[in-house]
Amino acid sequence: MELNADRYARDSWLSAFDPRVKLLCFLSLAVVIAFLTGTDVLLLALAFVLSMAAVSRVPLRHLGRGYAMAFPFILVASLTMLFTSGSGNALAMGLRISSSALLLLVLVSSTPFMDVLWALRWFKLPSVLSDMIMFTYRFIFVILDESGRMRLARASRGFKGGRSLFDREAFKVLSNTIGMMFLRSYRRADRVYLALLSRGYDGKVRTLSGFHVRARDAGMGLTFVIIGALALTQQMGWYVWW
Amino acid sequence: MGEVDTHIPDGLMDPIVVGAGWALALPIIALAVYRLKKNLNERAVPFMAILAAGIFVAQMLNFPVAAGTTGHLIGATLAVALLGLYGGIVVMTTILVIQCLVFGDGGLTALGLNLLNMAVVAPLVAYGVLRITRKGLDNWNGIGVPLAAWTSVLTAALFCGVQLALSYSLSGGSYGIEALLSIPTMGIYHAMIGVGEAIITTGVVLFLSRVAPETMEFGMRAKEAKA
Repeated sequence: MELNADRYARDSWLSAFDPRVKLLCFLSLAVVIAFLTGTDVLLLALAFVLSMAAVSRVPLRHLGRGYAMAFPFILVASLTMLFTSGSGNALAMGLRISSSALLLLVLVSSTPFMDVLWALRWFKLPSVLSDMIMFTYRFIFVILDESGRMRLARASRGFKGGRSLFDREAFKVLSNTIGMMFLRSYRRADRVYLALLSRGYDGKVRTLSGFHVRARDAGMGLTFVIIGALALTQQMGWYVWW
Repeated sequence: MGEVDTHIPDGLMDPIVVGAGWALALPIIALAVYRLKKNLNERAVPFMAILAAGIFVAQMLNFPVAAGTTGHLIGATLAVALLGLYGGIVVMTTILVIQCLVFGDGGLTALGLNLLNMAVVAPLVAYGVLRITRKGLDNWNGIGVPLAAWTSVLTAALFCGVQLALSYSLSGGSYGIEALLSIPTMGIYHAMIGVGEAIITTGVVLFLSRVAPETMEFGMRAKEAKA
């Protein structure tokens, strides 16, 4: 998991698109890919995803790192498939997980967090959940800071991480660390909340900026629909394109 | 599987299983959100979010399992012990949605299954075990918490194993992993991970109830944690 996942989002060419359209497009394509089992249609999907990656201008190294995290899992799933149901299925499995994993990586690394949140609100996600998502995202970095300092303190006192489940000392240190992390964050949350109150927080979120669906958003939608329809009709045998 | 995060990715499971995951998870999450909203004070959201962020970060701390492999916390039992069932479900849902939509961890379509396993099944099992042991035993956090943590992890993992097996048999071998491989592997590996989860969850709950009993009242339903 890359922590500053939306680091390149603002520079991405895709970030200017309406996040609602983008979320819908990517989600629909992910659904289509989930249905694909033929190697030919999966290669088409992968080629399209790779071209989206190129167009997004997210550095390849960034996408590659995300993909490398998922790769061992893809390898295990495909290898198991190879031994249980043949090489065709194994290849399809590898291609399917790879293309949908890359699709999601392109989406998350080309969409700033606040845009995702804005789109989720527009899609009428219950306010409890959207507020939870907003606060949690903010607090993750507060807690990471805190835990980074604690890790440094731990390491400088010679803590190594333990060897097995029977390492009592390691687990004691880890539980106390997590407990202390909660405690410090809890105190800080109190201050954050008071700060919010003093700035007029009343549980509602208002934003100045918004998005409008423009011609290019419609173009993106159309492209995704064409690719999705092409792959799905071929896969299901409704129409044989090639 | 080692260091790799094991959220279910897109494309692994049969579409029918994926659909069933959404169909089972969403109503229960909706119910939890609705019930939570009814007796929510305005302070609760930031406090629940701190817990969610804390579990998110705690999930990144690997603990040693055996022979060089490591595991990490799921955190459902911790969330339930501090916030009760509905709070636990909402906290776990928040974490999974952020992991999916912000960090690309776990698939878009597979989010339904990840929610079912880790935000619905795990909290429900944890809550059930905590309730049962609270009635039977006075010393609830000495036995109830570790038992709840271990059982919830194992059940969630077995659910995932069964989903893999179902995908395999429903699709005739195009999706998932065969039952004979998936269920024992998921079960055995997570029976060990569960021990780590049990130790850490108990450690954190004991630590918090000793050092700062007031944090056990993170917002609402403190009774769940104390009784």
